[in-house]
Amino acid sequence: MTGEELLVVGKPLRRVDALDKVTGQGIYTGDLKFPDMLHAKVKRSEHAHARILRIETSEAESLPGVIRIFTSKDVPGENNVGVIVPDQPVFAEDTVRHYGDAVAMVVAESEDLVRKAVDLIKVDYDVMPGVFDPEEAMLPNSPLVHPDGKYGNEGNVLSKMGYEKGDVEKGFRDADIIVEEEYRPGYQEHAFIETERCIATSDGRNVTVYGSLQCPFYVRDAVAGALGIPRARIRIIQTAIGGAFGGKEDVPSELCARAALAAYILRRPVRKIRSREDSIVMHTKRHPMIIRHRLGATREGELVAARVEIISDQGAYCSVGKYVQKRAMVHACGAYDIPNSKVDTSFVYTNNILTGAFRGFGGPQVAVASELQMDELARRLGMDPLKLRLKNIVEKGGITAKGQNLDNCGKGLRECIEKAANVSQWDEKRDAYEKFNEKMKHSSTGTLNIRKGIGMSSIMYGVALGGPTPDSATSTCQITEDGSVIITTGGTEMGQGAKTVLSQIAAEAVGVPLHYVTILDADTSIVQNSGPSVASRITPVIGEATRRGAKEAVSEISNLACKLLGVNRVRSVIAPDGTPFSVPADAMVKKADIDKFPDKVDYHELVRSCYGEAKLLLGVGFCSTPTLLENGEYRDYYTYSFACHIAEVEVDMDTGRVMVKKLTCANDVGKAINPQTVEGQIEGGAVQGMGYGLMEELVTLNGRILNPSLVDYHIPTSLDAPQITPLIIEEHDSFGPYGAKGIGEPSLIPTPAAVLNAVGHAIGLAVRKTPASPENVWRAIRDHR
Amino acid sequence: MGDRSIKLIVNGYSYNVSVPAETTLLEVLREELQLTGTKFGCDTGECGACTVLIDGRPFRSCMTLAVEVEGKRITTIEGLANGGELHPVQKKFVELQAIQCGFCSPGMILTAVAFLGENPKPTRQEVRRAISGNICRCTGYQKIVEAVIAASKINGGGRK
Ligand code: FES
Ligand code: FES
Repeated sequence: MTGEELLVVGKPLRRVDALDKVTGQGIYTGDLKFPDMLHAKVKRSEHAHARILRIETSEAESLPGVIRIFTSKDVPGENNVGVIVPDQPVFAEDTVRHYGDAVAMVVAESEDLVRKAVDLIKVDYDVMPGVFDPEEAMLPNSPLVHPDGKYGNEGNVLSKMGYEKGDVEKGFRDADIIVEEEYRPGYQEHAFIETERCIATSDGRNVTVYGSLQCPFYVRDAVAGALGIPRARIRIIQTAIGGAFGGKEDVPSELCARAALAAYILRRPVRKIRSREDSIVMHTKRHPMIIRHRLGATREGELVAARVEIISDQGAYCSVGKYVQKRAMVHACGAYDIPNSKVDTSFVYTNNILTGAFRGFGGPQVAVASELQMDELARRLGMDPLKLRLKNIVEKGGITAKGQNLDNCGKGLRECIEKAANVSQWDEKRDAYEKFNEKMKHSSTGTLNIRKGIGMSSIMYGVALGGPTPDSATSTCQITEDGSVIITTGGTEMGQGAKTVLSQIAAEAVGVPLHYVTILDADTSIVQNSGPSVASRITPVIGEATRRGAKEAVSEISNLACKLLGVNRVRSVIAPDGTPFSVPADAMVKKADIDKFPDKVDYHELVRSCYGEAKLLLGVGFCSTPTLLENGEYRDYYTYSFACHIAEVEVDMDTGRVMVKKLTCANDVGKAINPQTVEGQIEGGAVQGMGYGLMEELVTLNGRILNPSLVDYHIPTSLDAPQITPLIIEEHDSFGPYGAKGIGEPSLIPTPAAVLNAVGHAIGLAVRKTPASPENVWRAIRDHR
Repeated sequence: MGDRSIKLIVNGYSYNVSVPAETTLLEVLREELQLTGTKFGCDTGECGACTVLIDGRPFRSCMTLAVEVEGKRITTIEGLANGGELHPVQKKFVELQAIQCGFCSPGMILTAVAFLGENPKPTRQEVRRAISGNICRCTGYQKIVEAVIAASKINGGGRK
């Protein structure tokens, strides 16, 4: 960039979907209605592991208004889905492998009827022993979840991944101090307020599915596979989404495949809306992990070696597990420069709920381990955790623990830590809280036995899909006769502000005000596959494709402007009344003076002239991330973004109850395309992360989820959420549009560990089993006594 | 089959519907009256997405039978804007980006509107308490609290 002033990017403009959403006009899947629409609901498995002997449907079928009951026999194509390996059945065939398996599906004239009919389906099972603990699942004689090993699994081990850098044994020999601990971050449920839903329609040949989905192309491929028809006959249309967070990444594949099957066979629209209970019992969760972490350092606090072993419960199916595994492996040692490191990970099938994508993708779990280790080390060295971190963070020009040369980023982390520490008054509070706690320990008169703590967590986050394959995206831009700009991409708006941010990028590239731009909803028959809406990749990758497409679309307009103004380069100025003009690139004119400035051409005239001269105002933007290096090596991630979150808590020593009072969250986003939206992401991510660290606990017993409701699975309410100070740090990235990186996930990743470290500071010992619920905190205190 | 014919006053208009006695207000609004701005997130009273105002007070429409509110004044999100002009709470939700996915927003906004009617100059903590039955998974609540406070400072913020 030339340092010219940005017109639209970097401004806190109002969200393009705001008005719809505050007036109730936004159309979500459940708001659509079709004539003759049928309803559908599945019969879930009643066991964690069993053979299906018989499915008795006659009683259910005899209910007036029940149209048909579907089972695996009705699937014309492949009876399985799976983004990585096709191990998940559309309908369980002969075996059920967890409580969330679909055995059959009722289609009927009303929601009421489907509920009644589902209860009338009787299934005979031959119950088999199940395996519910990933470590037990790795033992030789444990029951096998996928006995044939056809998904590349060995026994129950779906996949092993690891790396070694340097000489770890020697590293530990040289260490003056070694900290070795086990951490057990648990499940997390997405708890989007809108449960999964879709509506399928079909004329018996083509199929259209409307849905609340993050990745329309995943769904298209799954539906094509299940129906055994070409992808070209399938159209997946995304509606407004009521929250996703990874939980609508591959989850809609099975849901939509079943609805599409019914619509295809019955030739009537079929709507499927998951009840809250079905939602929690059936969809993927954040991977629980057992993390054994060994960290060696010198007396001065310099890290010399790390050894991390991770075992994770994959549940019954792979979902996107191997991708989560890779991210967990790369980030396992944290954002530190550690010369010797070795990481091993095993992701293991069990008969528990399957685990998969959840905002952060393995990141929050490994950060819990690596960041609590840093605090443990600081405690033993008698060092300030902040100083210990600053001493060891990996910075530009350094080498990550995994071995990637940070040649193109790495300044953001120090800035995040210093800014967050400064704003939160780290030094003063650390001190004050320690004095307060000391006093409380010796006071017998106080009514409340309170301790205060402040803790931090700093992370790096590999942006977008990891290497070696570059992450790529396509986006098209057309400029219409009236100067409007229409963008198509496969990226989806799920509440994060994608449409607003992409609109700002397109408006900036074309040189028009924001309201000129329309981003079409993803429709697989119209847009290109821009890859999934995951991995915080929309802004940097789809955004860059959008910028390029818009630049190409406007190129004829710019050429004409150059010709008319007799210059080689032009730039845009938007007048105070909103009219865009082209002026010579080096013209020293401010927008307020544009009226009196002679050397300008009205954008609308340029567009009209281009149409008059039959010029093409269409651009196809394509980009791929620079993961491959010239020497044939590759980057794990093309760039990293960084964050430091600081939490302040109060702990009631008698009950173990923790209140988070404050969060100070510094996130490096490269460039905030819309600072207000970025703040929203930081605040929302931080509270979701706080929920994971503090209170969210999915209780399972032999594969059964015991709290499948929002009454029993607690997510933060407005009374739990603290005051948050979001701090935006911008380390310009050379690839992303206007320097932007992603923010969706790094907003959440550091928070759980920050909260846990604050609790650790308050009570003087670590809580290694998440969440820091009253019970877990109280136990930690008691066990220590 | 035992349909009851009832008269509802929604957003100032009166409607006659004939529904089974166990039909919830949420179902009537969404399925019979096509007022889909009222969202359903759980159907079991857990989330607050279905909140509407009944005689100015917030209720969960998924937990309210349509027959119970016969003749009462019902306000849904569609009826909040006054002849096209947004209610101050809506305005501030837009301005301060107190929305992300927007699924909690109709219920959240109506709860806030009712609350400001009773407490026109609240503190942040009072706002937090008032909206604590409406769950938002996206925003972290801060911008929502700020929007309600900001709305309380403009004229007519307490209008219902
Ligand atoms: S839908 Fe009524 S409270 Fe959730
Ligand atoms: S904005 Fe998504 S639930 Fe509140």
